Amino acid sequence: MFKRKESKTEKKREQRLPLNRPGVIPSLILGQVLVISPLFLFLPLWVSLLSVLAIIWRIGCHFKGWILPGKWIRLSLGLLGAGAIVIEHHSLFSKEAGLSLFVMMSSFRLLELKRYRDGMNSVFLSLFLLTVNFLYNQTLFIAIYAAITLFWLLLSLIGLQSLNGIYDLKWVGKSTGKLLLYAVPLAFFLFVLFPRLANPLWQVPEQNSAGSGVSDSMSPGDISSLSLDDELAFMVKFKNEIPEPGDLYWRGLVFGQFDGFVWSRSNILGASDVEVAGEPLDYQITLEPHKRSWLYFLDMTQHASSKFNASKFRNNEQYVYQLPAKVNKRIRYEGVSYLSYKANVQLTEPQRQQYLQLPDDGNPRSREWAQKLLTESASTEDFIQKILKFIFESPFYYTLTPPLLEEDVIDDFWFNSRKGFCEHYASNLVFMARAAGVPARVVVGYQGGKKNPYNDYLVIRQADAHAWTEIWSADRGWFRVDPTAAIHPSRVEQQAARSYRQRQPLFDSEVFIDWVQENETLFNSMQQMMEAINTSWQQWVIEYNQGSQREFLKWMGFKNYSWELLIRLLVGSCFLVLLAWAFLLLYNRQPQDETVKLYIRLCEKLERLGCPRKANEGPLDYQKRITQRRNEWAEISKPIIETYINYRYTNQRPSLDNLNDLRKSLNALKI
Amino acid sequence: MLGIITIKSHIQNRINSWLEKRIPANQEVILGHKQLFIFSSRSGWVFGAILLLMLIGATNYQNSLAFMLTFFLMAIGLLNIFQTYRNLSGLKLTGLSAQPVFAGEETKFPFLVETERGCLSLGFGFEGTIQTWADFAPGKNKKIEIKFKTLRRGWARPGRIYLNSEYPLGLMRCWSYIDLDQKVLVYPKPIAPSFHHAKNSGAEDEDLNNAKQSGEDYQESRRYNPGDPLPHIDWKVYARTDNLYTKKFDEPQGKEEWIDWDEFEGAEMELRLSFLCYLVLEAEKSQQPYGLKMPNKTISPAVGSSHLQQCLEQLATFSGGQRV
Repeated sequence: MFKRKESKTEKKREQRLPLNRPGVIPSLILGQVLVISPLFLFLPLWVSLLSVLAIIWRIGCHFKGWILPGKWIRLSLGLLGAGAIVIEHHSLFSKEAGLSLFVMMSSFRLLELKRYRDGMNSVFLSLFLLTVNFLYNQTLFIAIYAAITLFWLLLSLIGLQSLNGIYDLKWVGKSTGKLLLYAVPLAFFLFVLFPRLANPLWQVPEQNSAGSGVSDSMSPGDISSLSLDDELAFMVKFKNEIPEPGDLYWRGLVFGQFDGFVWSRSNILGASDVEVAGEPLDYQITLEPHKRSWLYFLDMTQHASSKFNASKFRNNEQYVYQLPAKVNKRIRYEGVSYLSYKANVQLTEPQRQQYLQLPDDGNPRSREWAQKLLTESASTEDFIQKILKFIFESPFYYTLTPPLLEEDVIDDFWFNSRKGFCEHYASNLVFMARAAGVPARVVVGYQGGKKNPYNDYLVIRQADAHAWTEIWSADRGWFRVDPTAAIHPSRVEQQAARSYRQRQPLFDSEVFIDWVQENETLFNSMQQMMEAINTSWQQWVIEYNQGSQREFLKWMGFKNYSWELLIRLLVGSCFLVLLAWAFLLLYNRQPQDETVKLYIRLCEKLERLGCPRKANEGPLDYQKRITQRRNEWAEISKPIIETYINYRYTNQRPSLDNLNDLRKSLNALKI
Repeated sequence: MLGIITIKSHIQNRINSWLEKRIPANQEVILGHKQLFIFSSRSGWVFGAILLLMLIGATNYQNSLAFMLTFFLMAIGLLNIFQTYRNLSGLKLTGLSAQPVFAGEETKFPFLVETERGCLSLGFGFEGTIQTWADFAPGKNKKIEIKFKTLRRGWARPGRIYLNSEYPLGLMRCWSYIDLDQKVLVYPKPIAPSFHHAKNSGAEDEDLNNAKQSGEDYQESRRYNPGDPLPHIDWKVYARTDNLYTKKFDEPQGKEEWIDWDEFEGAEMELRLSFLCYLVLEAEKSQQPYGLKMPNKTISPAVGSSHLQQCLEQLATFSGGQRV
């Protein structure tokens, strides 16, 4: 009994195609390499190294005849790897540990490729890993890369089924391409119409990594260099015209508390109170995940709408928009802003106290200087103007690598170093104002932005991060003063050139010297185009979710969103695709009909060329006459007429390929 | 255990008779929806499970690209059903006649495969045999052969041909069991007669007379020389003396000779036929006219391949009829 069973499996095994056909094993190895290469960025180094070793070993086995490891070596290697993963990640079931395990497993599996089934499983595992890739990276680039990888994996799958393996790469590639092409419409319908959930099935653990850009405190004296980060912060699409660059102040946070070194956020003291004038500006912001909980709006907003219901979090005298949770995903929201406004003309006592707050001592020279200046000023505005004039006329420099400041940082900066960037200037101006009894606060956010000519989005980068001030006066309420803009353009350091160019409108005074060469290089223009493509990619692919499905249905003219409707639409479109496939793949074109059609077409074409077939003329006589007329016609018509005769009188059916060739030659005949 | 086997064979019978009705035996079969079956292969199930896993993952992480890849693979999986079916459908198979063989030898059943679309990685074989693989280019005819090991003499039917292919992706298997109504004539296995089986009767003279009557000019026996035609061995002398003697005939080449069923009386029927078969072959080799005497039929002496075939056919289809 036992023996019989064994022989049965033996037989079954032989019924499968072997793996040692040309190109099969190399294609599987290449597939594995393609799949795990982008994952190396996220894997522990030793996992990557082990996988590479396993792959090299396998390549050596294939091309140089090295010996494959035995069963015990493989088993112990696997156990060792699993153990090491547990030590590295403290678990075997977290996302990272799972990824390490999968990558190691699939690489080790290459070492035991022997049978047909091993090959199939290797491809399936690769497909799975390809998906895992997307959890880490969803850029357009990785999508294109994944498409190429998918193509290759399918190609090796076809190779696994072909008797000659991948002997004829071009041919197998063509079959794979056809397969992918046919699958596109159904994949598209599934993507658009497959019902999506609004919330994850289970909570995905949050990733803890620090974001760059605006942080929730500021200590200018401590920073000795500010690197310009070119990373995208957010993008803005204005409904109408983009405002003047000098008006583009993107408000993020307000710092009201100063301890002599660090500016930090103060408590919210009451509600907003704003009067607006002029045309409203409608815009939509696509915010990159910045791992903070506030949103950015253009100064000054009256109200905002977004699916995060920001109005709940905006009604405060600082005009900041705080969400209950951190922004871990790219989000989109809408805002309405007014360029002319009067905010909080009435200042409550707690507010006044907060925005006049200063440490009890320190920076005596600055306090004295400010108080003296106030006595010389006619009004608050005049006072501020005088400070700005001081900055403009004194040797204040704009630099990204300021010296570290001594104990009394305000004094040291104002009278000594005079080299700094926006945070220094904002910090000092607010200190001076408060010292003189004028309520003031620091506002941080972004300034400016660059228009992408390809899609009219305004792109704001981390390098556009900025700090400015708000001064309160009894008749204007809070109004914006940007002391950085008061620096004489000749004193903007070369290193800050890039940042300067972006903030050019800031420094745009009458003494402006054109010292920065504005050259729109090819690189710049390409960068802009890439960003435009990326934006569409974000909007239409990455962010496609239940909300987009609703919008799509609305656009299609369906009023209510329901899963039932989606499924109905999906089934309907699937049916159409299947019908098309059935027609394209299974409908039997009859070669005999095609032969007659081809002959008739030949006659028609020659008729138009002035050589019509006579009613009583048979194909042979016709051919003779054509030959007499013109050699070129004869060459084309001869095989067609022969095929026709063979079919009509000897019932020889031509192959479709043959007919296609004939049709092509007939099409080449010019009228 | 026995019960399970009976149930199994019962089910097998039912399936066979159902198949008989659905795909009746015919010399020419064109594969269409009636003949073809399609279902997920083993790897297809694994693929489906992975797709499900990917779909759950994509839903949970709300990852658009994971969705896209999953849907792409789903579409490809569905498309693959059509392509796997298309690969086999329209295939036209015509059974050709097989060369007769001797029992225990392998014969090859040839058949012609015609396809307009082409058919790739087609595995074929009779049930229970190891299958072979072939590709078929579109629009071309190709003759293929399936080996078949014969066991018994008589008409042998190989049963249904199992055709299958998992091309292009190996996720679906499309198959068919077709009967091209093929059969092959299997001659008895030629066995050199062991001398004990020769008729051991005392009627030597009678035989001698018989021989003379039938025109054989029997002269004398001489010692057997290797290479002497075996039918000329004097079996009776051998039976008596255990020495081999060759009957010497006077007449020139072309003298007739009879191969007689009765010569091996007492031997089991199949063995007897095998002996006769052997003798017929030897006689044809020596190019001497020979005749075959069977209980139900006598084939008069002649020589040549058609005569040989007639004799062998007689032996192959002999059903053990008694002398009438």
